Amino acid sequence: MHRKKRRIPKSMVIGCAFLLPSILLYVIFMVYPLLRTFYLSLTSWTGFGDAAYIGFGNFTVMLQDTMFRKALMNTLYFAVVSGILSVLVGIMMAWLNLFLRRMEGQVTRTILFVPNMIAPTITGLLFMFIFTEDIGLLNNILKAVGLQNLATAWLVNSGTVKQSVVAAQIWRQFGLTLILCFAGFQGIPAGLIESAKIDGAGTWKIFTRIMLPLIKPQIELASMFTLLGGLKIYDSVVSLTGGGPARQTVVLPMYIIENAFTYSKFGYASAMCVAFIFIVLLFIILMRFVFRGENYEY
Amino acid sequence: MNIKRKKEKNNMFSDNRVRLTSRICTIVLCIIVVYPLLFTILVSFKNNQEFYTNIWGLPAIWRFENYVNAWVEGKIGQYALNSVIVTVTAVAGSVAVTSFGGYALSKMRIPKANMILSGLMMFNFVPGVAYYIPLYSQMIDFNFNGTLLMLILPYLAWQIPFSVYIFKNFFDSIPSELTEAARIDGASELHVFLQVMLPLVTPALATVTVFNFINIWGEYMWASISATSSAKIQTIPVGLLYFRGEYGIEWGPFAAAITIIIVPLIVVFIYFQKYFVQGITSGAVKG
Repeated sequence: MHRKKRRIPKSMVIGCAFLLPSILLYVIFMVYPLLRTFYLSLTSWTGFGDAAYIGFGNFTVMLQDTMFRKALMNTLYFAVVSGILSVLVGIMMAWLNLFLRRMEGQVTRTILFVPNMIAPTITGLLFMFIFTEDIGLLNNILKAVGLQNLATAWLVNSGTVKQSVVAAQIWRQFGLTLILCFAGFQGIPAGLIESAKIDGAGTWKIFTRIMLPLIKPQIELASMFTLLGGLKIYDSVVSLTGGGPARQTVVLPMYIIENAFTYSKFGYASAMCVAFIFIVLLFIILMRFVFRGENYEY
Repeated sequence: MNIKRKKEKNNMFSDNRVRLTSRICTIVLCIIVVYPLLFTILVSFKNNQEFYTNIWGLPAIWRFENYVNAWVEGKIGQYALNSVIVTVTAVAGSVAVTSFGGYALSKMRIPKANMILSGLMMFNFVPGVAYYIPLYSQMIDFNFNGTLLMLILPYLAWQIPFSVYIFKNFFDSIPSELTEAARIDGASELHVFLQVMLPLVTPALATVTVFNFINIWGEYMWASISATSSAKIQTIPVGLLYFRGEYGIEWGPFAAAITIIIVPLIVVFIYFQKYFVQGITSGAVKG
Protein backbone atom coordinates (compact mmCIF):
# COMPACT_ATOMS: atom_id res chain seq x y z
CA MET A 1 0.00 0.00 0.00
CA HIS A 2 2.95 2.36 -0.29
CA ARG A 3 2.41 3.25 -3.89
CA LYS A 4 2.35 6.99 -4.47
CA LYS A 5 -0.71 8.62 -5.95
CA ARG A 6 0.36 11.20 -8.51
CA ARG A 7 -2.30 13.90 -8.58
CA ILE A 8 -4.61 13.70 -5.60
CA PRO A 9 -2.85 13.54 -2.25
CA LYS A 10 -3.78 10.53 -0.16
CA SER A 11 -4.82 12.66 2.81
CA MET A 12 -7.42 14.37 0.67
CA VAL A 13 -9.02 11.08 -0.37
CA ILE A 14 -9.16 9.92 3.23
CA GLY A 15 -10.43 13.37 4.18
CA CYS A 16 -13.37 13.00 1.84
CA ALA A 17 -14.10 9.63 3.38
CA PHE A 18 -14.05 11.27 6.83
CA LEU A 19 -16.47 13.95 5.66
CA LEU A 20 -18.83 11.74 3.69
CA PRO A 21 -21.06 10.45 6.55
CA SER A 22 -21.80 14.00 7.74
CA ILE A 23 -22.75 15.15 4.26
CA LEU A 24 -24.82 12.05 3.49
CA LEU A 25 -26.90 12.24 6.67
CA TYR A 26 -27.37 15.97 6.22
CA VAL A 27 -28.63 15.53 2.68
CA ILE A 28 -30.91 12.57 3.40
CA PHE A 29 -32.61 14.01 6.48
CA MET A 30 -32.55 17.76 5.80
CA VAL A 31 -31.84 18.89 2.25
CA TYR A 32 -33.80 16.25 0.37
CA PRO A 33 -37.00 16.56 2.45
CA LEU A 34 -36.73 20.34 2.22
CA LEU A 35 -36.63 20.19 -1.59
CA ARG A 36 -39.57 17.78 -1.52
CA THR A 37 -41.53 20.34 0.53
CA PHE A 38 -41.02 22.90 -2.22
CA TYR A 39 -42.24 20.38 -4.80
CA LEU A 40 -45.22 19.25 -2.70
CA SER A 41 -46.30 22.85 -2.19
CA LEU A 42 -47.29 22.89 -5.87
CA THR A 43 -49.43 19.76 -5.58
CA SER A 44 -52.63 18.66 -3.92
CA TRP A 45 -51.06 15.57 -2.35
CA THR A 46 -53.12 13.90 0.37
CA GLY A 47 -50.59 11.31 1.45
CA PHE A 48 -51.71 8.52 -0.89
CA GLY A 49 -51.08 7.91 -4.55
CA ASP A 50 -49.44 10.35 -6.88
CA ALA A 51 -49.25 14.05 -6.20
CA ALA A 52 -51.32 16.06 -8.68
CA TYR A 53 -49.64 19.24 -9.86
CA ILE A 54 -51.85 22.27 -9.31
CA GLY A 55 -49.40 25.15 -9.79
CA PHE A 56 -49.81 27.96 -7.30
CA GLY A 57 -53.33 26.91 -6.31
CA ASN A 58 -52.34 26.31 -2.71
CA PHE A 59 -50.91 29.78 -2.39
CA THR A 60 -54.06 31.49 -3.63
CA VAL A 61 -56.09 29.46 -1.11
CA MET A 62 -53.65 30.52 1.59
CA LEU A 63 -54.18 34.21 0.88
CA GLN A 64 -57.88 33.80 1.65
CA ASP A 65 -57.43 31.53 4.67
CA THR A 66 -58.27 33.64 7.72
CA MET A 67 -56.98 30.97 10.08
CA PHE A 68 -53.60 31.03 8.33
CA ARG A 69 -53.45 34.77 8.74
CA LYS A 70 -54.34 34.52 12.40
CA ALA A 71 -51.70 31.86 13.03
CA LEU A 72 -49.12 33.96 11.20
CA MET A 73 -50.00 37.09 13.19
CA ASN A 74 -49.76 35.16 16.44
CA THR A 75 -46.36 33.77 15.49
CA LEU A 76 -45.10 37.25 14.60
CA TYR A 77 -46.58 38.75 17.77
CA PHE A 78 -44.91 36.17 20.02
CA ALA A 79 -41.58 36.42 18.21
CA VAL A 80 -41.39 40.22 18.17
CA VAL A 81 -42.89 41.15 21.53
CA SER A 82 -41.26 38.46 23.62
CA GLY A 83 -38.06 38.71 21.56
CA ILE A 84 -37.58 42.43 22.13
CA LEU A 85 -38.51 42.22 25.81
CA SER A 86 -36.19 39.25 26.43
CA VAL A 87 -33.27 41.03 24.78
CA LEU A 88 -33.89 44.20 26.82
CA VAL A 89 -34.13 42.28 30.09
CA GLY A 90 -31.02 40.30 29.14
CA ILE A 91 -28.94 43.39 28.37
CA MET A 92 -29.97 45.13 31.59
CA MET A 93 -29.24 42.08 33.71
CA ALA A 94 -25.86 41.55 32.01
CA TRP A 95 -24.91 45.14 32.80
CA LEU A 96 -26.13 44.97 36.39
CA ASN A 97 -24.22 41.72 36.80
CA LEU A 98 -20.96 43.59 36.27
CA PHE A 99 -21.48 45.43 39.56
CA LEU A 100 -21.78 42.29 41.63
CA ARG A 101 -18.85 40.66 43.38
CA ARG A 102 -17.24 37.90 41.38
CA MET A 103 -18.77 34.94 43.17
CA GLU A 104 -22.22 36.55 43.34
CA GLY A 105 -22.09 37.27 39.65
CA GLN A 106 -21.04 33.77 38.72
CA VAL A 107 -23.72 32.07 40.81
CA THR A 108 -26.56 34.34 39.70
CA ARG A 109 -25.58 34.06 36.04
CA THR A 110 -25.79 30.29 36.33
CA ILE A 111 -29.20 30.49 37.98
CA LEU A 112 -30.57 32.97 35.47
CA PHE A 113 -29.45 30.80 32.55
CA VAL A 114 -31.18 27.64 33.84
CA PRO A 115 -34.59 28.32 32.15
CA ASN A 116 -32.83 28.49 28.80
CA MET A 117 -31.94 24.83 28.81
CA ILE A 118 -35.21 23.51 30.18
CA ALA A 119 -37.24 22.04 27.33
CA PRO A 120 -39.95 24.45 26.09
CA THR A 121 -42.62 21.80 26.72
CA ILE A 122 -41.67 21.85 30.38
CA THR A 123 -41.70 25.65 30.49
CA GLY A 124 -45.29 25.54 29.31
CA LEU A 125 -46.24 23.05 32.02
CA LEU A 126 -44.48 25.07 34.74
CA PHE A 127 -46.37 28.19 33.71
CA MET A 128 -49.60 26.24 33.76
CA PHE A 129 -49.07 25.98 37.52
CA ILE A 130 -48.63 29.75 37.64
CA PHE A 131 -51.53 30.87 35.48
CA THR A 132 -54.26 28.32 36.27
CA GLU A 133 -57.29 29.97 37.81
CA ASP A 134 -58.10 28.38 41.15
CA ILE A 135 -54.79 26.95 42.25
CA GLY A 136 -52.46 29.11 40.17
CA LEU A 137 -49.54 30.80 41.86
CA LEU A 138 -50.20 34.21 40.34
CA ASN A 139 -53.79 34.44 41.55
CA ASN A 140 -52.71 33.29 44.98
CA ILE A 141 -50.01 35.95 45.14
CA LEU A 142 -52.53 38.61 44.07
CA LYS A 143 -54.91 37.44 46.79
CA ALA A 144 -52.14 37.51 49.37
CA VAL A 145 -51.32 41.16 48.64
CA GLY A 146 -54.97 42.21 48.47
CA LEU A 147 -55.32 42.62 44.73
CA GLN A 148 -57.84 39.80 44.27
CA ASN A 149 -59.90 41.85 41.82
CA LEU A 150 -56.97 41.61 39.40
CA ALA A 151 -57.04 37.83 39.58
CA THR A 152 -58.42 36.18 36.48
CA ALA A 153 -58.33 32.92 34.57
CA TRP A 154 -55.17 33.95 32.73
CA LEU A 155 -55.18 31.15 30.18
CA VAL A 156 -58.95 31.21 29.50
CA ASN A 157 -59.47 34.95 29.33
CA SER A 158 -58.78 35.97 25.74
CA GLY A 159 -57.48 39.34 26.91
CA THR A 160 -54.63 37.85 28.94
CA VAL A 161 -53.74 34.57 27.26
CA LYS A 162 -51.27 36.06 24.78
CA GLN A 163 -49.48 38.03 27.45
CA SER A 164 -49.23 34.83 29.50
CA VAL A 165 -47.48 33.09 26.62
CA VAL A 166 -45.17 36.09 26.22
CA ALA A 167 -44.31 36.00 29.92
CA ALA A 168 -43.37 32.33 29.71
CA GLN A 169 -41.30 33.03 26.61
CA ILE A 170 -39.36 35.87 28.27
CA TRP A 171 -38.70 33.68 31.29
CA ARG A 172 -37.17 31.12 28.97
CA GLN A 173 -35.21 33.36 26.64
CA PHE A 174 -33.56 36.28 28.43
CA GLY A 175 -30.67 34.19 29.77
CA LEU A 176 -29.12 33.78 26.33
CA THR A 177 -28.82 37.55 25.82
CA LEU A 178 -27.48 37.86 29.35
CA ILE A 179 -24.64 35.40 28.70
CA LEU A 180 -23.76 36.84 25.27
CA CYS A 181 -23.83 40.49 26.34
CA PHE A 182 -21.95 39.76 29.54
CA ALA A 183 -19.16 38.20 27.47
CA GLY A 184 -19.27 41.32 25.29
CA PHE A 185 -19.00 43.67 28.26
CA GLN A 186 -16.01 41.73 29.52
CA GLY A 187 -14.22 42.20 26.22
CA ILE A 188 -14.32 46.01 26.50
CA PRO A 189 -10.85 47.27 27.44
CA ALA A 190 -10.76 48.69 30.94
CA GLY A 191 -8.89 51.80 29.78
CA LEU A 192 -11.82 53.01 27.71
CA ILE A 193 -14.18 53.06 30.63
CA GLU A 194 -11.53 54.41 32.97
CA SER A 195 -10.85 57.40 30.74
CA ALA A 196 -14.57 58.15 30.33
CA LYS A 197 -14.85 58.15 34.10
CA ILE A 198 -11.95 60.58 34.42
CA ASP A 199 -13.68 62.83 31.90
CA GLY A 200 -16.61 62.93 34.31
CA ALA A 201 -19.12 60.60 32.65
CA GLY A 202 -21.64 59.05 35.04
CA THR A 203 -22.34 55.32 35.34
CA TRP A 204 -25.52 55.46 33.23
CA LYS A 205 -23.89 57.60 30.56
CA ILE A 206 -20.93 55.21 30.31
CA PHE A 207 -23.42 52.37 29.85
CA THR A 208 -25.54 53.99 27.14
CA ARG A 209 -22.88 55.96 25.24
CA ILE A 210 -19.84 53.71 25.46
CA MET A 211 -20.62 50.18 26.51
CA LEU A 212 -23.80 49.57 24.49
CA PRO A 213 -22.38 50.74 21.13
CA LEU A 214 -19.29 48.62 21.73
CA ILE A 215 -21.24 45.38 22.18
CA LYS A 216 -23.44 45.90 19.13
CA PRO A 217 -22.26 42.63 17.50
CA GLN A 218 -23.27 40.68 20.60
CA ILE A 219 -26.64 42.43 20.78
CA GLU A 220 -27.22 41.66 17.10
CA LEU A 221 -26.35 38.00 17.59
CA ALA A 222 -28.57 37.74 20.68
CA SER A 223 -31.47 39.37 18.82
CA MET A 224 -30.99 37.01 15.89
CA PHE A 225 -31.03 33.93 18.12
CA THR A 226 -33.95 35.16 20.21
CA LEU A 227 -36.20 36.45 17.44
CA LEU A 228 -35.55 33.60 15.02
CA GLY A 229 -36.04 31.15 17.89
CA GLY A 230 -39.25 33.00 18.72
CA LEU A 231 -40.60 32.55 15.19
CA LYS A 232 -40.37 28.79 15.67
CA ILE A 233 -42.41 28.90 18.90
CA TYR A 234 -44.54 25.77 19.14
CA ASP A 235 -43.78 23.43 22.05
CA SER A 236 -44.43 25.90 24.84
CA VAL A 237 -47.72 27.03 23.30
CA VAL A 238 -48.88 23.44 22.87
CA SER A 239 -48.22 22.62 26.49
CA LEU A 240 -49.43 25.94 27.92
CA THR A 241 -52.62 26.68 25.99
CA GLY A 242 -52.91 24.01 23.29
CA GLY A 243 -53.79 26.85 20.92
CA GLY A 244 -56.85 27.81 22.93
CA PRO A 245 -59.03 29.39 24.13
CA ALA A 246 -61.15 29.27 20.96
CA ARG A 247 -57.97 29.04 18.81
CA GLN A 248 -56.78 32.43 20.06
CA THR A 249 -53.16 31.34 20.36
CA VAL A 250 -52.73 29.02 17.38
CA VAL A 251 -49.25 29.50 15.92
CA LEU A 252 -48.09 28.71 12.41
CA PRO A 253 -46.39 25.31 13.02
CA MET A 254 -49.52 24.19 14.89
CA TYR A 255 -51.79 25.03 11.97
CA ILE A 256 -49.38 23.42 9.50
CA ILE A 257 -49.18 20.17 11.45
CA GLU A 258 -52.93 20.12 11.91
CA ASN A 259 -53.50 20.46 8.17
CA ALA A 260 -50.92 17.82 7.33
CA PHE A 261 -51.47 15.13 9.93
CA THR A 262 -55.13 15.63 10.92
CA TYR A 263 -56.70 16.61 7.59
CA SER A 264 -54.05 14.98 5.31
CA LYS A 265 -53.75 18.18 3.28
CA PHE A 266 -50.05 17.60 2.73
CA GLY A 267 -49.90 19.82 -0.35
CA TYR A 268 -51.50 22.78 1.36
CA ALA A 269 -49.41 22.30 4.51
CA SER A 270 -46.25 22.23 2.38
CA ALA A 271 -47.27 25.48 0.73
CA MET A 272 -47.61 27.07 4.17
CA CYS A 273 -44.14 25.74 5.03
CA VAL A 274 -42.72 27.46 1.96
CA ALA A 275 -44.43 30.71 2.94
CA PHE A 276 -43.04 30.26 6.47
CA ILE A 277 -39.50 29.86 5.11
CA PHE A 278 -39.78 33.08 3.12
CA ILE A 279 -41.16 34.91 6.14
CA VAL A 280 -38.16 33.82 8.20
CA LEU A 281 -35.84 34.94 5.38
CA LEU A 282 -37.57 38.30 5.28
CA PHE A 283 -37.09 38.58 9.01
CA ILE A 284 -33.36 37.94 8.67
CA ILE A 285 -33.05 40.65 6.01
CA LEU A 286 -35.02 43.03 8.20
CA MET A 287 -32.73 42.33 11.15
CA ARG A 288 -29.66 43.01 9.00
CA PHE A 289 -31.25 46.32 8.09
CA VAL A 290 -31.99 47.26 11.70
CA PHE A 291 -28.41 46.49 12.73
CA ARG A 292 -26.80 48.01 9.64
CA GLY A 293 -23.93 50.46 9.94
CA GLU A 294 -20.46 50.26 11.34
CA ASN A 295 -19.32 48.28 14.28
CA TYR A 296 -16.96 50.14 16.53
CA GLU A 297 -13.49 48.73 16.87
CA TYR A 298 -11.53 48.78 20.06
CA MET B 1 -14.10 32.69 26.03
CA ASN B 2 -12.58 33.33 29.35
CA ILE B 3 -14.93 33.77 32.25
CA LYS B 4 -12.23 35.28 34.45
CA ARG B 5 -12.75 38.92 35.20
CA LYS B 6 -9.77 41.23 35.10
CA LYS B 7 -8.88 42.66 38.42
CA GLU B 8 -8.90 46.34 37.53
CA LYS B 9 -12.45 46.01 36.28
CA ASN B 10 -13.72 45.38 39.75
CA ASN B 11 -12.80 48.93 40.71
CA MET B 12 -14.56 50.36 37.71
CA PHE B 13 -17.89 48.85 38.61
CA SER B 14 -17.84 49.63 42.31
CA ASP B 15 -20.58 52.27 42.34
CA ASN B 16 -22.35 51.34 45.58
CA ARG B 17 -25.79 52.68 44.68
CA VAL B 18 -25.83 50.74 41.44
CA ARG B 19 -24.54 47.69 43.23
CA LEU B 20 -27.54 47.82 45.57
CA THR B 21 -29.97 48.18 42.65
CA SER B 22 -28.18 45.36 40.91
CA ARG B 23 -28.49 43.10 43.94
CA ILE B 24 -32.20 43.80 44.33
CA CYS B 25 -32.98 43.23 40.63
CA THR B 26 -30.85 40.10 40.45
CA ILE B 27 -32.38 38.58 43.57
CA VAL B 28 -35.94 39.31 42.41
CA LEU B 29 -35.24 37.76 39.01
CA CYS B 30 -33.53 34.75 40.57
CA ILE B 31 -36.65 34.17 42.69
CA ILE B 32 -38.85 34.41 39.58
CA VAL B 33 -36.62 31.85 37.88
CA VAL B 34 -36.19 29.42 40.74
CA TYR B 35 -39.62 29.56 42.37
CA PRO B 36 -41.63 27.74 39.67
CA LEU B 37 -39.06 24.95 39.76
CA LEU B 38 -39.06 24.73 43.54
CA PHE B 39 -42.84 24.89 43.62
CA THR B 40 -43.10 21.96 41.21
CA ILE B 41 -40.70 19.91 43.29
CA LEU B 42 -42.74 20.64 46.46
CA VAL B 43 -46.01 19.77 44.72
CA SER B 44 -44.51 16.48 43.62
CA PHE B 45 -44.62 15.33 47.26
CA LYS B 46 -48.22 16.37 47.98
CA ASN B 47 -51.53 14.69 47.28
CA ASN B 48 -54.42 16.52 45.68
CA GLN B 49 -56.13 17.39 48.92
CA GLU B 50 -53.01 18.95 50.34
CA PHE B 51 -52.37 20.66 47.06
CA TYR B 52 -55.59 22.61 47.38
CA THR B 53 -55.45 23.35 51.10
CA ASN B 54 -51.74 23.97 51.58
CA ILE B 55 -50.45 25.26 48.28
CA TRP B 56 -47.50 27.25 49.60
CA GLY B 57 -45.98 25.30 52.44
CA LEU B 58 -43.79 22.26 52.70
CA PRO B 59 -45.71 19.01 52.36
CA ALA B 60 -46.99 17.65 55.68
CA ILE B 61 -46.03 14.13 54.64
CA TRP B 62 -43.39 13.60 51.95
CA ARG B 63 -45.25 11.29 49.58
CA PHE B 64 -42.58 9.48 47.61
CA GLU B 65 -45.31 7.20 46.25
CA ASN B 66 -46.11 9.99 43.77
CA TYR B 67 -42.84 9.17 42.07
CA VAL B 68 -43.63 5.46 41.99
CA ASN B 69 -47.05 6.32 40.58
CA ALA B 70 -45.65 8.50 37.83
CA TRP B 71 -42.91 6.02 37.00
CA VAL B 72 -45.07 2.90 36.84
CA GLU B 73 -48.72 3.86 36.24
CA GLY B 74 -47.93 7.06 34.35
CA LYS B 75 -45.47 5.02 32.28
CA ILE B 76 -42.79 7.70 32.71
CA GLY B 77 -40.37 4.79 33.17
CA GLN B 78 -41.07 3.54 29.68
CA TYR B 79 -40.89 7.04 28.16
CA ALA B 80 -37.66 7.68 30.01
CA LEU B 81 -36.14 4.48 28.64
CA ASN B 82 -37.02 5.59 25.10
CA SER B 83 -35.64 9.06 25.71
CA VAL B 84 -32.39 7.71 27.14
CA ILE B 85 -31.84 5.27 24.27
CA VAL B 86 -32.64 7.90 21.64
CA THR B 87 -30.58 10.65 23.23
CA VAL B 88 -27.51 8.54 23.99
CA THR B 89 -27.38 6.92 20.53
CA ALA B 90 -28.06 10.12 18.62
CA VAL B 91 -25.56 12.20 20.61
CA ALA B 92 -22.85 9.52 20.37
CA GLY B 93 -23.50 9.13 16.65
CA SER B 94 -23.44 12.85 16.00
CA VAL B 95 -20.21 13.35 17.95
CA ALA B 96 -18.54 10.44 16.13
CA VAL B 97 -19.64 11.51 12.66
CA THR B 98 -19.03 15.25 13.03
CA SER B 99 -15.65 15.01 14.76
CA PHE B 100 -14.38 13.22 11.65
CA GLY B 101 -16.17 15.75 9.44
CA GLY B 102 -14.89 18.84 11.23
CA TYR B 103 -11.36 17.43 11.30
CA ALA B 104 -11.46 16.64 7.58
CA LEU B 105 -12.64 20.16 6.75
CA SER B 106 -9.96 21.71 8.91
CA LYS B 107 -6.85 19.63 8.36
CA MET B 108 -7.17 17.32 5.33
CA ARG B 109 -6.78 19.86 2.48
CA ILE B 110 -10.27 19.35 1.15
CA PRO B 111 -10.84 21.84 -1.65
CA LYS B 112 -13.40 24.55 -0.95
CA ALA B 113 -13.70 23.54 2.71
CA ASN B 114 -15.23 26.87 3.68
CA MET B 115 -17.83 26.61 0.97
CA ILE B 116 -18.80 23.13 2.14
CA LEU B 117 -19.19 24.48 5.67
CA SER B 118 -21.38 27.34 4.43
CA GLY B 119 -23.45 24.78 2.55
CA LEU B 120 -23.96 22.85 5.76
CA MET B 121 -24.94 25.97 7.70
CA MET B 122 -27.14 27.36 4.95
CA PHE B 123 -30.44 25.81 5.99
CA ASN B 124 -29.99 26.41 9.69
CA PHE B 125 -32.59 29.15 9.70
CA VAL B 126 -35.28 26.90 8.19
CA PRO B 127 -37.98 26.03 10.73
CA GLY B 128 -38.03 22.28 11.40
CA VAL B 129 -41.67 21.92 10.45
CA ALA B 130 -40.72 22.76 6.85
CA TYR B 131 -39.14 19.38 6.25
CA TYR B 132 -41.13 17.19 8.64
CA ILE B 133 -43.93 16.39 6.19
CA PRO B 134 -41.86 14.76 3.41
CA LEU B 135 -39.52 13.30 6.01
CA TYR B 136 -42.41 11.51 7.69
CA SER B 137 -43.43 9.71 4.50
CA GLN B 138 -39.75 9.09 3.74
CA MET B 139 -39.28 7.38 7.10
CA ILE B 140 -42.32 5.21 6.47
CA ASP B 141 -40.89 4.26 3.07
CA PHE B 142 -37.70 3.24 4.85
CA ASN B 143 -39.86 1.06 7.13
CA PHE B 144 -38.60 2.88 10.22
CA ASN B 145 -42.05 3.60 11.66
CA GLY B 146 -42.57 2.09 15.07
CA THR B 147 -38.84 1.85 15.74
CA LEU B 148 -36.66 4.32 17.61
CA LEU B 149 -34.59 4.76 14.43
CA MET B 150 -37.34 7.10 13.30
CA LEU B 151 -36.15 9.48 16.00
CA ILE B 152 -32.46 8.63 16.27
CA LEU B 153 -31.42 9.17 12.65
CA PRO B 154 -33.09 12.56 12.08
CA TYR B 155 -31.98 13.84 15.49
CA LEU B 156 -28.43 12.81 14.69
CA ALA B 157 -28.57 14.45 11.27
CA TRP B 158 -30.05 17.76 12.48
CA GLN B 159 -27.16 18.29 14.90
CA ILE B 160 -24.57 17.96 12.13
CA PRO B 161 -24.23 21.59 10.94
CA PHE B 162 -23.65 23.08 14.38
CA SER B 163 -21.38 20.25 15.52
CA VAL B 164 -19.20 20.25 12.39
CA TYR B 165 -18.87 24.02 12.76
CA ILE B 166 -17.70 23.75 16.37
CA PHE B 167 -15.24 20.93 15.61
CA LYS B 168 -13.79 22.75 12.60
CA ASN B 169 -13.26 25.90 14.66
CA PHE B 170 -11.46 24.02 17.40
CA PHE B 171 -9.28 22.04 14.97
CA ASP B 172 -8.42 25.27 13.16
CA SER B 173 -6.90 26.59 16.37
CA ILE B 174 -4.44 23.68 16.54
CA PRO B 175 -1.26 24.18 14.48
CA SER B 176 -1.02 21.96 11.39
CA GLU B 177 2.63 21.19 12.20
CA LEU B 178 1.36 18.66 14.70
CA THR B 179 -0.43 16.56 12.09
CA GLU B 180 2.48 16.94 9.67
CA ALA B 181 4.94 15.74 12.28
CA ALA B 182 2.81 12.71 13.12
CA ARG B 183 2.41 11.88 9.42
CA ILE B 184 6.16 12.09 8.83
CA ASP B 185 6.64 9.72 11.76
CA GLY B 186 4.63 7.26 9.69
CA ALA B 187 1.32 7.34 11.55
CA SER B 188 -1.76 6.51 9.48
CA GLU B 189 -4.39 9.21 8.99
CA LEU B 190 -6.79 7.43 11.31
CA HIS B 191 -4.07 7.13 13.90
CA VAL B 192 -3.17 10.82 13.62
CA PHE B 193 -6.80 11.76 14.14
CA LEU B 194 -7.67 9.42 17.00
CA GLN B 195 -4.42 9.43 18.95
CA VAL B 196 -2.96 12.87 18.31
CA MET B 197 -5.67 15.34 17.38
CA LEU B 198 -8.86 14.18 19.11
CA PRO B 199 -7.36 14.33 22.62
CA LEU B 200 -6.44 17.97 21.96
CA VAL B 201 -10.04 19.04 21.41
CA THR B 202 -11.77 17.63 24.48
CA PRO B 203 -13.45 21.01 25.09
CA ALA B 204 -15.04 20.74 21.65
CA LEU B 205 -16.19 17.21 22.45
CA ALA B 206 -17.81 18.47 25.63
CA THR B 207 -19.42 21.48 23.95
CA VAL B 208 -20.91 19.41 21.14
CA THR B 209 -22.09 16.68 23.51
CA VAL B 210 -23.81 19.10 25.87
CA PHE B 211 -25.54 21.09 23.14
CA ASN B 212 -26.71 18.00 21.29
CA PHE B 213 -27.93 16.49 24.55
CA ILE B 214 -30.06 19.52 25.44
CA ASN B 215 -31.51 19.82 21.94
CA ILE B 216 -32.40 16.16 21.59
CA TRP B 217 -33.58 15.42 25.13
CA GLY B 218 -36.35 18.02 25.01
CA GLU B 219 -37.34 17.82 21.33
CA TYR B 220 -41.11 17.69 21.04
CA MET B 221 -42.44 18.46 17.55
CA TRP B 222 -40.86 15.63 15.55
CA ALA B 223 -41.26 13.24 18.46
CA SER B 224 -44.99 13.89 18.64
CA ILE B 225 -45.40 13.53 14.88
CA SER B 226 -43.47 10.25 14.92
CA ALA B 227 -45.50 8.97 17.84
CA THR B 228 -48.64 9.13 15.70
CA SER B 229 -47.26 6.12 13.84
CA SER B 230 -46.74 4.08 17.00
CA ALA B 231 -47.25 4.72 20.71
CA LYS B 232 -44.22 2.53 21.43
CA ILE B 233 -41.75 5.26 20.55
CA GLN B 234 -43.06 8.04 22.79
CA THR B 235 -40.31 10.01 24.47
CA ILE B 236 -40.58 11.93 27.72
CA PRO B 237 -41.82 15.28 26.36
CA VAL B 238 -44.53 13.53 24.32
CA GLY B 239 -45.46 11.17 27.12
CA LEU B 240 -45.69 14.00 29.59
CA LEU B 241 -48.40 15.77 27.61
CA TYR B 242 -50.36 12.50 27.28
CA PHE B 243 -49.85 12.05 30.99
CA ARG B 244 -51.48 15.43 31.60
CA GLY B 245 -54.46 14.33 29.55
CA GLU B 246 -54.91 11.15 31.53
CA TYR B 247 -53.97 12.27 35.00
CA GLY B 248 -54.70 15.98 34.62
CA ILE B 249 -56.25 16.21 38.05
CA GLU B 250 -53.56 14.27 39.90
CA TRP B 251 -51.13 17.11 40.48
CA GLY B 252 -48.71 15.20 42.68
CA PRO B 253 -47.61 12.47 40.25
CA PHE B 254 -47.73 15.00 37.41
CA ALA B 255 -45.30 17.30 39.20
CA ALA B 256 -43.22 14.24 40.08
CA ALA B 257 -42.96 13.41 36.37
CA ILE B 258 -41.79 16.96 35.59
CA THR B 259 -39.24 16.76 38.39
CA ILE B 260 -37.87 13.48 37.01
CA ILE B 261 -37.16 15.28 33.73
CA ILE B 262 -35.71 18.58 34.90
CA VAL B 263 -33.47 17.49 37.75
CA PRO B 264 -31.01 15.53 35.54
CA LEU B 265 -30.96 18.45 33.10
CA ILE B 266 -30.10 20.97 35.78
CA VAL B 267 -27.38 18.73 37.18
CA VAL B 268 -25.84 18.22 33.73
CA PHE B 269 -26.07 21.92 33.04
CA ILE B 270 -24.41 23.07 36.23
CA TYR B 271 -21.65 20.52 35.78
CA PHE B 272 -20.93 21.46 32.16
CA GLN B 273 -21.77 25.15 32.42
CA LYS B 274 -18.39 26.29 31.11
CA TYR B 275 -18.96 24.50 27.80
CA PHE B 276 -22.36 26.07 27.35
CA VAL B 277 -20.89 29.52 27.53
CA GLN B 278 -18.13 28.42 25.18
CA GLY B 279 -20.60 27.05 22.65
CA ILE B 280 -22.81 30.11 22.69
CA THR B 281 -20.04 32.66 22.53
CA SER B 282 -18.02 30.80 19.88
CA GLY B 283 -20.73 31.90 17.47
CA ALA B 284 -20.08 35.47 18.53
CA VAL B 285 -16.37 35.30 17.83
CA LYS B 286 -16.59 34.12 14.26
CA GLY B 287 -20.23 35.11 13.63
